[in-house]
Amino acid sequence: MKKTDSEFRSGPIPGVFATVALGLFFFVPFAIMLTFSFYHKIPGGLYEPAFEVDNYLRFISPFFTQILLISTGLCSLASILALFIGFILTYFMSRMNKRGRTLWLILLVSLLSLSEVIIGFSWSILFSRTAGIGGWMYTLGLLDAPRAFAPGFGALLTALTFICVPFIVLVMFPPLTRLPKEWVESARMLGATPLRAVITVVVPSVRPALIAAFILAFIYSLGSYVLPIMLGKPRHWTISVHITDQALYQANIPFASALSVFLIVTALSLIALISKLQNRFT
Amino acid sequence: MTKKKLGLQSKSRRTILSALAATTGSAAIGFPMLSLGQNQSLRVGAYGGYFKDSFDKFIFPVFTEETGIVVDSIAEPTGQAWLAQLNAAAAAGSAPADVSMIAQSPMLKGQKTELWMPLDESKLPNLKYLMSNFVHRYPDGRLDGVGAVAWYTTLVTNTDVYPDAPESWDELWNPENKGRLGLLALVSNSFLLEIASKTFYGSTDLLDSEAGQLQALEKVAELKPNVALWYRDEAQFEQALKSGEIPMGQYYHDVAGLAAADGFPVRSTFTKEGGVSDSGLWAVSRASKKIEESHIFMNFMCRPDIQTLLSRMVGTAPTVPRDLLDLTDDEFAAVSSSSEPIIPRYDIYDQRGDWLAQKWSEMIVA
Amino acid sequence: MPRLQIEGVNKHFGSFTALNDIWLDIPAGKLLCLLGPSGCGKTTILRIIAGLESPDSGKVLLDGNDLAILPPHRRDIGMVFQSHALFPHLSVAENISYGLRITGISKSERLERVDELLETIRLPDAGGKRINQLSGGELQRVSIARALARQPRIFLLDEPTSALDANLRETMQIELRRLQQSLNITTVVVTHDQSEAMTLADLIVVMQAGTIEQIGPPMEIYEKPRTEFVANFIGATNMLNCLWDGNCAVLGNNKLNIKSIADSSLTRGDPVKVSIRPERVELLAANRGRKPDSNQLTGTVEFVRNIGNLVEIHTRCENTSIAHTYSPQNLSTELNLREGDAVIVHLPAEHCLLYSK
Repeated sequence: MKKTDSEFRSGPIPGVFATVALGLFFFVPFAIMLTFSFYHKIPGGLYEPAFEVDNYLRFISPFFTQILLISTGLCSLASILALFIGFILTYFMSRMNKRGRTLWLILLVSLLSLSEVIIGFSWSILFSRTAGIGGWMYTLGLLDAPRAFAPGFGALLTALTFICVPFIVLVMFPPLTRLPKEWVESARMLGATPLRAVITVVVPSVRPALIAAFILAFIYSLGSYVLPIMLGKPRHWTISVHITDQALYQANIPFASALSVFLIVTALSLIALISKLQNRFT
Repeated sequence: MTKKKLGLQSKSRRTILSALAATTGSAAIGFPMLSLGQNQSLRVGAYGGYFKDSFDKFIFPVFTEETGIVVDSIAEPTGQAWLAQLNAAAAAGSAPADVSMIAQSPMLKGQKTELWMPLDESKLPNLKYLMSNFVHRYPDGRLDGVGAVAWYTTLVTNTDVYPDAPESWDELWNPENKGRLGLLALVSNSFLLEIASKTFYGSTDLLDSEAGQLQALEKVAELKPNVALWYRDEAQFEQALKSGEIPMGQYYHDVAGLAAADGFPVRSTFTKEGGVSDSGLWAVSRASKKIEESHIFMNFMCRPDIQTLLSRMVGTAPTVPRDLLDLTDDEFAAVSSSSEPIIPRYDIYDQRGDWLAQKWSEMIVA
Repeated sequence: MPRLQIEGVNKHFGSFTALNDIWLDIPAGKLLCLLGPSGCGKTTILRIIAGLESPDSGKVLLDGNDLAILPPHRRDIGMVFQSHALFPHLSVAENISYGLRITGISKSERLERVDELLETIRLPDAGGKRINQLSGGELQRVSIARALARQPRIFLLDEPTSALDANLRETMQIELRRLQQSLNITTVVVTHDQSEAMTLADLIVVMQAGTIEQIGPPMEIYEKPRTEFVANFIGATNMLNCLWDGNCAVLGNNKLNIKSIADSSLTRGDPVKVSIRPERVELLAANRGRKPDSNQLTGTVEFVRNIGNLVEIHTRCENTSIAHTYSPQNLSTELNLREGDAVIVHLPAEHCLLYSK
């Protein structure tokens, strides 16, 4: 007899495995990072073991507050846009025949295989003055002079949204394809326009998946380093960029660790907050 | 608890490293014949990518042919990561490479832990050829590094957009160049503080004091509206420079020259204030057992004919004076300039690196 | 209540012909059942009326007005889906009032209407329940209430009782019929269950492979199935393979007179089928000595069963098994037969129906 899913799930091995995997790939690196974040940076040198909170005290400045606000703001905005685009895309995919769906899925998954550098480079060309829309718009008479849209907020937001969309689709695809098409049809029969049916029936039905997709996109975009430096102006550099600068260029591992700990804690508390709000609503 | 875990881990890593070192040692003892004569070898770390590939192709074979010492070249990461690895290994009594190519600021950082083996000048007769800024010493005067590779950062322009070559770095501040510049993003690789000091205040001596450093920072802040791109990755700017998307900025003289040779409308200019001369040094880890071979290698690298070869084949600026070189004017101009360079103030990044980096970030992010 | 007409509708899905020249006229306030095996096109007709599919050609008229220009949400049609399609994120009351909310009915009016409907479906206290707390029958009733909440002009139901078990199904069918009659709403029901069709319908449309086989009131369909397919699909029947000899059918050596013969194109020797309902078959004791006459065959009982309200006897004659049923209450007229008994089977001419191949 075949074992059911729940039998597999209830066995001791998966639990042990999950704990070990989580420990190995999250808690151990996190613990190392946490330890380093309290180390002492030797001015002009590397670091030495110590327990001091100086690295954390550096956050209490308008500079880092601004970076944090910009990072979270930019990434939430990109995630919301990606959620919007990804949801619409997935909804239409879910209504296609099998062939159409597969083609779209292959296309989107192949986007995931592109490195961020290539994506960033493509967008920077597309937003350029000499070879991109800034030039085309001038040719079409929409602009008085050719201009570059990258680096800039719009370019960065576009690229961040772009890299998040495939994740949204991958999360939303299963629930949306499983959603009985009769739900929308019965809403239509009850007087709802197609848009209204989607808003009042489809969206509430897949809300947990939407939230999961948003969180995934948010965390993913927050970790992006290449796109902000390629497409953003210095004021759009996210906390990931500053972490990399500290770790790779300033050799300040303790401060880079402290920033990373802070980033993880911020991300986890946002997730906790969202889940709590979701539980309250349902 | 986490501390304990960490302690265990670093201990075990150290054990492994020393065990590895021991194995290598016993192997050498076990086969004494192999360590003699023409089978001498040396592990040399070079920046992975272009530099390592070029050295493997043009320089190391010449060295092996002359000395019989086989070079085992190792691709090292640029910047601080290699320093951290060397440091940890040296603490465990081993060296991942005997001789390493080291940038200026990690060189100074390494001095703090006595990472670099003091060199015996009697074994380096060719040291006399080097220009003084390519001879590196501990504060107490012990020699710890000799020039390995040098390059210039210059003012580059797109010739389609700028038919005439600019004469001064002050073009970066010219309001007519609004939104047209590509500059390096970090204080410690753009050397814009030095450029500003030399251009507007006569010399980099301005940077001796904190007040002077702040003054230079303020000066750099003035050119922010002109900057389209603060880049970390060369390729990002090179593409934009070639296409004219970002028609002016700072860039590597030799790479710009190669682009121009390929027909791109790109020009590199040594302005009247000079180009910024940056360089890497050869240094030996104190854990290295190949003291003799290391000295032979470094002495070899200081030779004018080898510097000629490097300039010709790898495109680096020579570390010895022009008159000792067998280079044509064109060949020399492709990699260097006789004008006085702007020498970066590595000392201030060593002493006040974190403070400067923070001020710099605040300045460009604001 | 409006009259619903379907005129010359065709529908293809790729190369598959789902509907072939369908004409229907449903009088106001009547209930029409679309009956047929799965894949016969009955659900497609329902979806075309609803506007969820559009016909390749032909029209759907409501009181003479073409519905083609109206999208589903403006057709004012209530529809109950086979899967009930209730919204799991809403409560029972919210499901029922969904359409009213869309229409913009005020909250107080909505509450009143929901209470009224919950009363009608005899679930007065279920308003606050979640959908996953309901039983199969309750789900069906709530989806009916939801479809009727906006007082639609037409009521459509797709296999309304197929998800229910046998007992509940009959109760639901009766409830549904009474509800429809009390509301006097023009209704179309899709079903593959002939007894459901017989229970509910004013008119039954029997369909096969995208075409209509027969339209008529239930008893007419039962008594006078126009085709062999209809005869087989509606109720049980004996279908006997015979030959035509010019004026009667021949089964082995026996002549079967048929009272009314519609088909005049038959010629002698053509294979034909004779259909007779089991309850119309008569059995006579063989020892009564009555000579086998036309429509009387000698045979042997091969199977007897009594299921309480019905006795069924299978008799083998001329290498064919003929079923006969009777109600055990009518004991006086019946024989006490067992397997192996010889009997005479009488197939009254007025109940025999003839189908040519």
